[in-house]
Amino acid sequence: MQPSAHVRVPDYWREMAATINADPSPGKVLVLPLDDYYQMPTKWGFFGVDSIANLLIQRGVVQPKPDGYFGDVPGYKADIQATQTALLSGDLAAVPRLLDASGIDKIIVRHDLIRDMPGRNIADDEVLAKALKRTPGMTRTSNGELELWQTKPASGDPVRAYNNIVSAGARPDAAAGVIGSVGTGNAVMALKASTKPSLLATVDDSPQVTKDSVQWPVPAVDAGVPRTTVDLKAGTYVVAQRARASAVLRPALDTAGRKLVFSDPTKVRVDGRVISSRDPVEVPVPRTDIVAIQAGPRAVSLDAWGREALPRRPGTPAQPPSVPVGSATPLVAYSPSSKPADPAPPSDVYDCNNYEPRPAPELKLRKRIVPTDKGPAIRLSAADHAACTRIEIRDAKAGRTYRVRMEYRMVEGKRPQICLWQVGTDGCILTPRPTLNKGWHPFEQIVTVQPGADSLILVLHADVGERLLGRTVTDYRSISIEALDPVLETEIWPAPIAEREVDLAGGEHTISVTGGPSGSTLADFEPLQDCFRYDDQDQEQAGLMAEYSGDLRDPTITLGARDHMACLGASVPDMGQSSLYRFSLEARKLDSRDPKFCLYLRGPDSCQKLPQAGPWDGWTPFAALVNPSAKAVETRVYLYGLRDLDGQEQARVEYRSIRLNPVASPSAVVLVRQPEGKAANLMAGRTIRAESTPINPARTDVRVEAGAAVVALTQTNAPGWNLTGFGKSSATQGWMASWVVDGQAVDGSARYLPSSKSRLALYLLPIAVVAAFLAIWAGTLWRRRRGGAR
Amino acid sequence: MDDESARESQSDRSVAGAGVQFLRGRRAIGSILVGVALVVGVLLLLRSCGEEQPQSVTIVAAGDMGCAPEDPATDSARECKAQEVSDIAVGLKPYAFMGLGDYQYEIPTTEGYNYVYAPSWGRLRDITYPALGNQEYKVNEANTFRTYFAERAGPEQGYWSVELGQWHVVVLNSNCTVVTGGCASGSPQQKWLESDLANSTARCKMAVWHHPRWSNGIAGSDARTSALYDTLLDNNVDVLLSGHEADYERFAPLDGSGQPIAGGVRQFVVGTGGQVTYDPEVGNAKWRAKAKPVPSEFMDTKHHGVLRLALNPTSYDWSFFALGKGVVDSGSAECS
Repeated sequence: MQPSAHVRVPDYWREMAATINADPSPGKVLVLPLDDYYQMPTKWGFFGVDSIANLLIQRGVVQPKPDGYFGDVPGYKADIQATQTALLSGDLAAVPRLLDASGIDKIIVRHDLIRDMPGRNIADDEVLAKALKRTPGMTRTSNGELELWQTKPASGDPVRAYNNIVSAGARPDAAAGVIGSVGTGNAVMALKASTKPSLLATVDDSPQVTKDSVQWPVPAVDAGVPRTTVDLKAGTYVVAQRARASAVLRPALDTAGRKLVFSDPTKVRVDGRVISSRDPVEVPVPRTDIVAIQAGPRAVSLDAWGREALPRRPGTPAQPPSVPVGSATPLVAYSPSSKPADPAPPSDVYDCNNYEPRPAPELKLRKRIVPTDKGPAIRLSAADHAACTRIEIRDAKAGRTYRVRMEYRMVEGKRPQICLWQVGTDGCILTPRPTLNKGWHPFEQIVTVQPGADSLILVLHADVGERLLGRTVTDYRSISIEALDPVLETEIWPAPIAEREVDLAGGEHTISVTGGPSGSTLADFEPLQDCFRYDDQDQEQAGLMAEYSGDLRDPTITLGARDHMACLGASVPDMGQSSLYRFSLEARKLDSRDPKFCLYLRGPDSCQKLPQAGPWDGWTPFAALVNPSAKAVETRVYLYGLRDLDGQEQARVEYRSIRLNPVASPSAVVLVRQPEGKAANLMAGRTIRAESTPINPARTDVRVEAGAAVVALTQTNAPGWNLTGFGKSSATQGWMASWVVDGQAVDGSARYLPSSKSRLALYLLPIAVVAAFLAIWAGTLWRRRRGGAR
Repeated sequence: MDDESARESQSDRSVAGAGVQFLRGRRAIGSILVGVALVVGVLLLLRSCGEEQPQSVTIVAAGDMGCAPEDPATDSARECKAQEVSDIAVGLKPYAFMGLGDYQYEIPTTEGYNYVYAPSWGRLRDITYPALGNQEYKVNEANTFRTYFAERAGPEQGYWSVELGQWHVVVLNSNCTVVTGGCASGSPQQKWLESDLANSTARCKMAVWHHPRWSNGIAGSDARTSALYDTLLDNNVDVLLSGHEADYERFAPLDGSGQPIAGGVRQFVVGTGGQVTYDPEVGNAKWRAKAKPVPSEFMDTKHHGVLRLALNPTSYDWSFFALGKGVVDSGSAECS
């Protein structure tokens, strides 16, 4: 991309601004997709601070700029983030409530961003637009490179009267969860945090419990089901699930009903009783022999082949295949092709790493068939270069889809390699790297031959890559190549989870979520590697070491390096089976260097963005929630041992409790108690009229009829506002200046006290100056008189 | 003599003395000026002598030299002969040594450079013009190669040019997957080559890169460098030196399709620097049978050795000194 010098703001931005500026309604404008960084890349050449909307539109523009100079109120930030998350994940019931709470009545969906910039994570604007189309109360008023969506115009009133107060937990996402689960007539007032925010990167998934509500982000667990006990007031509760990421659904084929069924296995239980669950999504299919599906970037077979070999706790069954399904998820269903694949027999062995001309007898390239417990395997071995065999898929052409399956193992030497070579394009299709150990591992890829390719060849390797290192021997068996035909291409949406009411007695209750995954999906760590070999010292010379101690099923790993960098890598097979993972570990430094780790994404070839770890003071925990990258074909966890900066002593660090767990459910469970003894319905909108007359930016006259629980200003989150008769403001909906009026009528002024004080100071300034001069004059006069008297 | 005369005489002596002193001072200044002029003249002469290239120079060339220190073939009869082959090269007292890549096997470690390469071919280090081979890149960014050759390693991208005698010599990087932009037409290296050769006024030109464009060895011809080769043809380059194959081979001047042509580029493959020699017959016969052989004028797959080139103002002479055999191939040709 060229530097963004002297670019012209496109006319569509100016036209959009003119349209919005001509509208007298007072609401704010939300710009989607949200910026993932304060500098955004645009298709029209600008790559810089994303201020175009703010500069052109003459009203509040909601467009947080992460890592920019100005932060956001945590409550407001949580509301806005929850809005985009709800749209992307299909939790559309929450969207109008969150927009109302944020004072937003217009949304710009922009299609002018470059989403596939390396290292960026920009939400899909097309999906956002499709989700808005399905959102209740939204109307698209203009289309094009910028879309303008409008809610009902009343949501932007500068003063609001709420019928009811609901208290929420102090954590910002707790209030956002409650806001998304109640009618717009409720003022959600968060408790003040009782503890200081931690400097450590942690995931707070504790239940946020108040007298009115519970919000519980369902955590990841190593075993069993997540469970929490909460002390509740007696009452009728609305139970909802708010999405934190796309729903995770299990596909199955109902041949009798000729449909694909996507079911959510998780169920929210209160005291063991199922209270909240998601209905299955049913997709009619034209054929009953569907064997595989692709939902979004993830392709899975319906027969769960190979899943027995995935990492899981001993004694627990293999998880069936699952796919994340959010808004407008593209779905392709595959059946066996009417024209079966035509793979040639495996070729004779040949050299596929001819890096240095050497005679064949020295290379010792061999291919032979060896018996195994599951039938014969192709064994390849090489002493130098690479022994390869190729299976040409003779009927392959651009657009045709194949499912390639096999099992492989490393017998000796280096890692097996499996290449799906598309002749005519850039080489091997990017696939996960095979695992480096002596066990049998499944390999499955569903690949569609790319445009421009005119053939597909499966190449199996035993690659040494260096003379004098010894042999590499690899085995491959049960090789299957099936041609598939797409028989259905459509879009699916997760079924909404209905909000249910449940009567609960006062006292302790247990909330649990059953049916979700548990345990870490991390495979065993592979042998020690040198991840920064800047000179020719080998591992021993560079002082690299890796030691395992303690319980070897969950060991403490010590890494050390004097030079270079010690590193251990472990793959995460089947990353993407969930939409939300918890990555956690504990680490400490023993010598001069801090621990360092990476969630490496193959494809983008970068580390996933994680919160800042440390400070390292003894054993220090780290935890973060991560979404799998749609662009990555493989995810690996790397632990590093950094070198001693002086190159004198071995610098050591330790790691333990390393986990990458899918959360048991990507939802947060929300319970909100219906108000007692009032006619107001928790799910209703605002019914009490509030009038306001802005006098100046620091004063608004307010008139509200009797019956309101809370009065709030929708244009400000600044503390320091005062309402005649009701004193200082507190925050409602995470950000609004508001007052609990408890049913009283209001007829007064909301004033911004700092402004009043500064105005008073301004008025007093000339008086003070005059007084000072008078004092000086009086003092001078007094001294003269005293001097004359002498 | 009266007093007045005495005073006049004294006065005359004073004037004369002053004049002598004046003359002496001028002489001294003149001497200094002459001295300075002489020194400047000598310096200028030396400088011009330093800049002036000789009319003819003799260079040697080879690639694929040092075995790994732990190589079990070190004491064998046929392999690991870097010391003996480099003895030939040193004995020829060359003006320059063209290093054709793959200086140190199997991993080009510092230890290998210090204990194998330095005592043998390293004796010519200060007159070496080293091209990058594939072995060098087995270490990150070829940094042991760069450490060893230091100021002689050339710029990072691995392509540059130098004047040797009356010849213009370009050293290129045929590691096409490593060098930025590759080797294809329009790549930075190809564009640089085109520009560099176009700007040269030398009548005779030579190119050096590791992977041979033409070869009947085990690896065979390498078409990745075809755009570079075509650029040599377009700019009347006379000679191309390569290594990589474990043999010696000399081709007639060939065109871009491997056909002999007057005014083509004559390629020498000299991968005989001591590591090993291979007969192509022992290679993978099936694989080799698919390759179309390019007729060469001379091929020796049995001997290590060095190529000596006499670079004359309008011609060149070649001699291949095979280890234990003496000169087995020689000849001369005019520059095109």
